[in-house]
Amino acid sequence: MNHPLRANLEITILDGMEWVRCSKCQRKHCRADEDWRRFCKVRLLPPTKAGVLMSDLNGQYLLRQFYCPTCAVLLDTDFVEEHSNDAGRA
Amino acid sequence: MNYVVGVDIGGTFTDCVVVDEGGKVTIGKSLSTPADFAQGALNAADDAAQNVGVKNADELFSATQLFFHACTIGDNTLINRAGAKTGLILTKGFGDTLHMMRGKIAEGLTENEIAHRSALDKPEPFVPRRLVEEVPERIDYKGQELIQLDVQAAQQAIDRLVSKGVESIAVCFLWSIMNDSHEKQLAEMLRKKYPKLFFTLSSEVAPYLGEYERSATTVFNAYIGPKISSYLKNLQRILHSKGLKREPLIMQAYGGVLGIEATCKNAVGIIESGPAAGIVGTRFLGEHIGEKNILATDMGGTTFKVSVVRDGVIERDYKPVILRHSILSSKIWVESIGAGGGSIAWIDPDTGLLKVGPQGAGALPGPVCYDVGGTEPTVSDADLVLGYLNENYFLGGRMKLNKAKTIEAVRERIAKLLKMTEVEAASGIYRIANSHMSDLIRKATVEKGHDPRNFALFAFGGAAPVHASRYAAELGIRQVVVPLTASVHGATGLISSDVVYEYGKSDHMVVPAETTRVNENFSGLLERALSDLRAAGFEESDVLVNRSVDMRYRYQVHELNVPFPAGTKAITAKEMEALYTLFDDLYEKAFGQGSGYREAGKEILTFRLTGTGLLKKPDIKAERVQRSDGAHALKGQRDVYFEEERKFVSTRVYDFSKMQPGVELDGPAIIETPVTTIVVNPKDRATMDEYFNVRIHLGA
Amino acid sequence: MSANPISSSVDPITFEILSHRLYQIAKEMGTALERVGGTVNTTQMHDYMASLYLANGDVLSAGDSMGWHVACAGFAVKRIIERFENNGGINPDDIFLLNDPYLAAIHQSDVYMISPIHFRGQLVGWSATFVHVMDIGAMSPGGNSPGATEICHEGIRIPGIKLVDRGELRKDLFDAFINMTRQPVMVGLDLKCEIAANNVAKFRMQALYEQFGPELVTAVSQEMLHHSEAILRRRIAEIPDGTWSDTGSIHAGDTWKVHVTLNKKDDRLLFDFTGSSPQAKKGINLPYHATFGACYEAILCTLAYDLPKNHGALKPIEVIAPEGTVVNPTPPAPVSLNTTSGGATVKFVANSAIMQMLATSEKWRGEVMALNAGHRLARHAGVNQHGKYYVSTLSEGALDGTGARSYKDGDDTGRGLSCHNIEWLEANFPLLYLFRRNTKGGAGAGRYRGGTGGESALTVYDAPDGKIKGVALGVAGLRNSGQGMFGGYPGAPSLLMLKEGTRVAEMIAADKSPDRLDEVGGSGRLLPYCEFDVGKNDVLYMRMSSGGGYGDPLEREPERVLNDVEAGIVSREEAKEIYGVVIEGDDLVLDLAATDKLRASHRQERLQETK
Repeated sequence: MNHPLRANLEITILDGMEWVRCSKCQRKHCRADEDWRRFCKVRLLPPTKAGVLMSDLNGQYLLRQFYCPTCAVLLDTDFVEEHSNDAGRA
Repeated sequence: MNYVVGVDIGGTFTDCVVVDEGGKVTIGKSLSTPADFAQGALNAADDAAQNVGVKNADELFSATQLFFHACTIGDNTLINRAGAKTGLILTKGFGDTLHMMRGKIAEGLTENEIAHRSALDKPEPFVPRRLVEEVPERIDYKGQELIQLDVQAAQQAIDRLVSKGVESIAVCFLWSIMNDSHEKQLAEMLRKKYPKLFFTLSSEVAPYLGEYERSATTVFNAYIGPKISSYLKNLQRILHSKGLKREPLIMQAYGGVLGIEATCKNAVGIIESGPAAGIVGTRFLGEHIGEKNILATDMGGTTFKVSVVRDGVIERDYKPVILRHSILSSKIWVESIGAGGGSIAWIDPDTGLLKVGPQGAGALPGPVCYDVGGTEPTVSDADLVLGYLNENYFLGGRMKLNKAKTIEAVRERIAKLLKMTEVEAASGIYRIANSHMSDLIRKATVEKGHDPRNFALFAFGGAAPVHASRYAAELGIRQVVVPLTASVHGATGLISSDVVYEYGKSDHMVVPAETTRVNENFSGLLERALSDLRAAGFEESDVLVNRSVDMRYRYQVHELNVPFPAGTKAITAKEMEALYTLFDDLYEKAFGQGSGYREAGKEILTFRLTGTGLLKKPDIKAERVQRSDGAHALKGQRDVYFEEERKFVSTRVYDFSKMQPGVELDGPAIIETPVTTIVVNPKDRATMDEYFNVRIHLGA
Repeated sequence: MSANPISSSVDPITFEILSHRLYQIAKEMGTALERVGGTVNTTQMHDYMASLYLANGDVLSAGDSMGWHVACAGFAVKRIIERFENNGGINPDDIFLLNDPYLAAIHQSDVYMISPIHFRGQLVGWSATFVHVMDIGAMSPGGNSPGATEICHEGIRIPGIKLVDRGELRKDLFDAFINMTRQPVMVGLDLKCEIAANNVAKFRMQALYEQFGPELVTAVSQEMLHHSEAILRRRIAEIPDGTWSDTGSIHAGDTWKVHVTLNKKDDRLLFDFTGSSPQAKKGINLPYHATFGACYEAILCTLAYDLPKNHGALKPIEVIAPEGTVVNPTPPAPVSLNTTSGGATVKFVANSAIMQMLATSEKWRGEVMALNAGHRLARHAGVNQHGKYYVSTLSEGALDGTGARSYKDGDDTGRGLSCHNIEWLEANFPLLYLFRRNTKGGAGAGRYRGGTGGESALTVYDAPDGKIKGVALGVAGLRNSGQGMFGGYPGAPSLLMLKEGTRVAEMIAADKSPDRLDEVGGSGRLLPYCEFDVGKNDVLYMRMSSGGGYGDPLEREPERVLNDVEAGIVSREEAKEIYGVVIEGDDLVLDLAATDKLRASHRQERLQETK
């Protein structure tokens, strides 16, 4: 069954399988049982890219963003600890 | 012949009430004319004049002793966002005060609206942020100046606002209530450079603690001030040209009247003044018939409102919510919900439950039975199906109701879906509407510590007399009064008003309060009261002074207004003691036995003084009462559904205009009047008193 | 239009009337609490609850109260039944008190009063209230104790006492309780107002039973529960099945994790907190019933916002929380900080999982809202300018901005609580405010932006002791505040900062307005969980949460960004940098052509830079 997943992402059925697709440019990211984040363009930026008041996070956190690799729409924004592998949020 | 005239301009109709020297009451009515309200006022006066027996309004006005006026222009200007382009000047560092609203996003919303928190929005501000200026200055809580007013910055702020086209300026500095020198300085600057610009100082319009509410009040005043001013001055001119010699007296939201000049200075005082006129009339009527505790209920087309008279005193609200903003302007206390004759009955698609309101059908498309396009069944439609309304005699026969269409709408939209008959469905609509109204009354009374059983219930508004006995009975109330002047009770209230000036001052004093300072505070207010009343033409012997204070237990937030005995003599230490005891008693009455924790200590927060210039009240004639069974007023009978019978019962129908004081009718009975229908349930009895009011005695 | 009426054994009219009446009674209780109680917590922060229960302790009607307290009070009722039914008895006009976090309370400051309702001698139901009392005899004034390492450091802990015995107040127990606190007068008032509110409930419920008869009231009560459950289950079933998860951090010196996986299958919801950190020797731990209550509350605010709040809405929910973790601690783990630390994090992750779930449903995605992970707040205590010792809370928390929705912005300072006027605060406490305003640049950016939160600064003024004591609480760490949703940016962190040795007094003496933090001088430090002093030359700065944004800021309508800049919420630099919107000149003119270009260039940049 076709249904939204979140902003700018939707679940669509193609050839009997569920896929995660970009709502803007229709790019197929991955199958529904995979983690769509692994199929995105990722950037790590200094915290102040999110505003001057984020300067308190300098040195401890980085701003991490996920985009659609085709149309560049922003899909996720988060702060992650600078010196850890673990993403902090799933 | 001398007349007292009251003109009440409402949303749809403009009413004019005239009382002659002998106490005879005559009514005139006309459609309101929103484009130029004054015209509707003249039309209604013309109508009344003719009913009185004089040629026209000019002749009426030439012989008018007192002219009273209430209008909705204050409300309309706010609701339609038609006020002046307003700027706001605040203390530097606090420029977002108005917009932050102290976080109060949910004020004035219904329970259902608040529950849906994802859909909440703050109301549109009356001053956009770019028209707010901050000026360096600071006063402390004692009234001491900490930082001087930066005159240059203030001048630049004013100039910037003017260059952006503002027509009116509101000024609210922190602690101006303790020291208004900075606000006065700014006023001087405004007068000097921009003498035509309208402005309001918070220390003048609302000298009470609380910078958010005070700034909101000041903004409202500045916003509507220019429009109110021009309207009232124009009205005065027109009436004068038509022969009126006396200055019109304007109804204020707290249930007293003021002259034009005083009203213009405090424009915010007329917001929601319409209902105030009604409740003044209610109290006046109550005095005549010996009722000091009254629940005044008004069931109109869309809204159901409740106000309270307790011990002959109208209940006040000193911190009302107007259009979702808390303000500090005193008004009568009114609680309302979306429940009226036009409230739509509907089935919730999610839950399958029958709901009534809060959406209403308004005048258009209107209830189905009005046959002007309405398709959704309303409370009035249910009333028709149940036999309460007469399809051939609605609004005095001026309108026919379409019963067949109504029955079908109730059947298709409601009954079928609930698997009921249309009569059962109509009865359900009727019962749910009544329970909403009785719940609101319960909220209005019990929450304030009143026992509804100690009150008489007055029924105003077209739909109320059909429902009042039910929602009153639910609360154990024993008497419902349907006043003769119910359809024009606003205008009736006008002509029974006094001139009332209100004054107040915030001064935080821990109990036991120093009596000298208490008297100092009151003297200041008294001086202004006597001066204003003298200027309004009153001798000291015609003036009544009431003093009171707002008090609370320490560190608590909730306050009660506690009165001193009337008068102007200096207050003694003994009277202060009596006041403290009275506060304890009132608190327990309001919040329950044992709720007052006296060990917490008490404090006084606000001093209030009311100066009343007593006006001669019309002497409403009492008729002779002669017992009768109403046979001569009987006009027929029809089948009417009553809950307790669970079926239609053959019911006598009476013509109100043929009823005389002293008549006694046993329920079930229907009384048809030119403006409403009065339903008398089985086991109740209706009588007519010496003033032509219908009284329903429940369970008699 | 067709309706599918929920099957009912009660006629729908009576159901509608009676269920609304029960809701009104619960609300009246709440009103009584608010009016009679006096503390800032009760009246400004709505930190109280009043609700009605069936005879067995299941929630009957929660009025407007916060869900997690309603659930916990339900546990309290059951614990009282267990303790007293065969030992002391449950008699008409008894009232019980309980505040043990290992039985039902969230932390000791939340004092529950539980009152049985009898009709003609039979137990027919219960009412319960709680208020957060101003002090509970813990290590720190106000109850929240950063220094506590075990529950015995956190004040009185009552597993259940009979405070009112057949209508008579047990003065010995009452005095014993308040005697152990720093604010016996205020706490006494709080207890009295709870008694008053429960009495309101009892009398109204008895009148209801009298009017409608016990059989009908019981039938309607059961039907209300069935009704809420059936509709909620149907709504859950309409959403596509799936699994969603989130992890949050609790910062209080150390860091602990809260992890939740939400699994939806058909009409059931399972919240599994496996993977959360082991319990801590710091008062951040959240007892199981509170963890459960947080999940219940998340559902009540979203899928069930318009349904009667009762036990029925609880039935489709299951919560797994491993024992010995921060979300299901065992004694003697301390808890006093939990409502504004662990509790806030649990609420956040539970809500986050639900938002992700709702986003997959066409019907429910309008309810998606960017969430707040919590804010800092401070309690303060000292001798005020009138010579009285006080303990209070600085209620600036009401000035949080809310998160953006999928179709509109969040509300600036619009959380729904209210804070005191500056004038009220300065009249009652020895404080002088330097500013209180919207935080410029605080709002989380997005296609729809978050609401900006408030910021304020104060110093002591006319304090007889020359200072006041503060306790810094709330969700600490820099990743509190509003979290962005689906691309939206987070709001600026909520923080407490103390600037010591400032020039405030000098500036005032020189008629210079001290409304800029960077001008008052002194040395500033961010406050963790701690006690601190505010002296004459110190400035306490408080910034509340700003809401997170929703979606891609490059998709925000340029006109809206112009409004934001005009209102001082967003700066022109931020408009360019984050929104790609160009606004020129002193009179702020929107350049649409330049905006298109800038946005295209931002998009290119996104795809070009390598990680």
